[in-house]
Amino acid sequence: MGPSRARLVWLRVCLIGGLGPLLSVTLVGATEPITRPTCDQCEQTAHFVRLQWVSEDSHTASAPHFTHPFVLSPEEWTVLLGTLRIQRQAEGLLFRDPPGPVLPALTPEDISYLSVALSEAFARAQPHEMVVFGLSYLNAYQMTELTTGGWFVDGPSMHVVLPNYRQVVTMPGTRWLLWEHPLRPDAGPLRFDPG
Amino acid sequence: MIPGDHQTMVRDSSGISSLFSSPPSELVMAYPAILLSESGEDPPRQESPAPIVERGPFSTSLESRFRLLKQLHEQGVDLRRGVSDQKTASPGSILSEWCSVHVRRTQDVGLEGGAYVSRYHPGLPSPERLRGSKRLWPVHFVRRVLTLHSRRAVWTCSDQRFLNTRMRISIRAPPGSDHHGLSGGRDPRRDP
Repeated sequence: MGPSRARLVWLRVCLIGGLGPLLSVTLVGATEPITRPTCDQCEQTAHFVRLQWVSEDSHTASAPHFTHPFVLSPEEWTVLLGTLRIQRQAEGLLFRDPPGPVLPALTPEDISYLSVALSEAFARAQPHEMVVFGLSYLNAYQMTELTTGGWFVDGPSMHVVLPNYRQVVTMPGTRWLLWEHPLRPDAGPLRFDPG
Repeated sequence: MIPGDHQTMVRDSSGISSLFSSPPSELVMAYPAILLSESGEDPPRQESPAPIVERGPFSTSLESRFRLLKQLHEQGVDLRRGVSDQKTASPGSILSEWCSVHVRRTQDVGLEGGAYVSRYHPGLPSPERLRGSKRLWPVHFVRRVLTLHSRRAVWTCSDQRFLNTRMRISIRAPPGSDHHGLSGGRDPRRDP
């Protein structure tokens, strides 16, 4: 192998090693959601509520022109949040585990935080903004669990999008990804149980 | 999925399709109905949806009025088609309470539009057309008072953004009340 050949191999390694991360960063940056904070206490280490601009090609079923700003008192938010139920779906293709029990989706602490934060966020939301949120927990095994999702109001209907519920996250990069992209699904099958 | 009251799934991440793609679950809540059903105490159920007649002063609390709405809802009245409310009032009573409460409620939930008076009795002093604008009603307008000068006044408060609620308000002078000062109409008891 001559010097020119070795130089060519080295160049290829550099291109592959350098362009890969660069391309990844570029792709992530291109899809980075446009967000803005809503209040001081809305963005904390263990939870956040923020406003996220929704584009026309959003995943949401309704047209991204919401009935925002929207005002509900924290007490009324408490009522609405308390109606959310969740159930872990049966998993497995052939030998399915039985579904889990129907449980309240949010803890009293979640509701206490979200009722205030959502009330403030929706009052500041614009018609093209969703209210997104993230909740972080430490489970009994000291593993991080994340719940992320978004809300929007369309006339008399309030939509709740919940891509991740109690999703166990072990890699810091995954946590960062879900924290910055709360509408990105990364969980196993689950379902709401309409109250 | 088993649809429940006031909640429906528009997208479910369960099922075979989720093996290949996992769209996020999306739940839709009819939040006005949920808030109405959760507000106040459970009123006693009636056998038939008889017309509800409230007597007495017009200072009824907000909670009692939403209990009335809930009661109507439980009786099967489609709030989106109209709610009739019949009251009695002595001449000189303040009439603006229903509309004002409705607007306050509108303001509470941050809905645009609001109530408007689509009909009014000629005996009312101010033939106002309280059409809602895209802004919330100012407080001084909410607190406008009207006085019953006639035996009967009928109007409709409507808010198409809040359950499409259309409340037809009927105010009548109670039997045996002092009819002095009434501006027209005849007394069916005295002039059968």
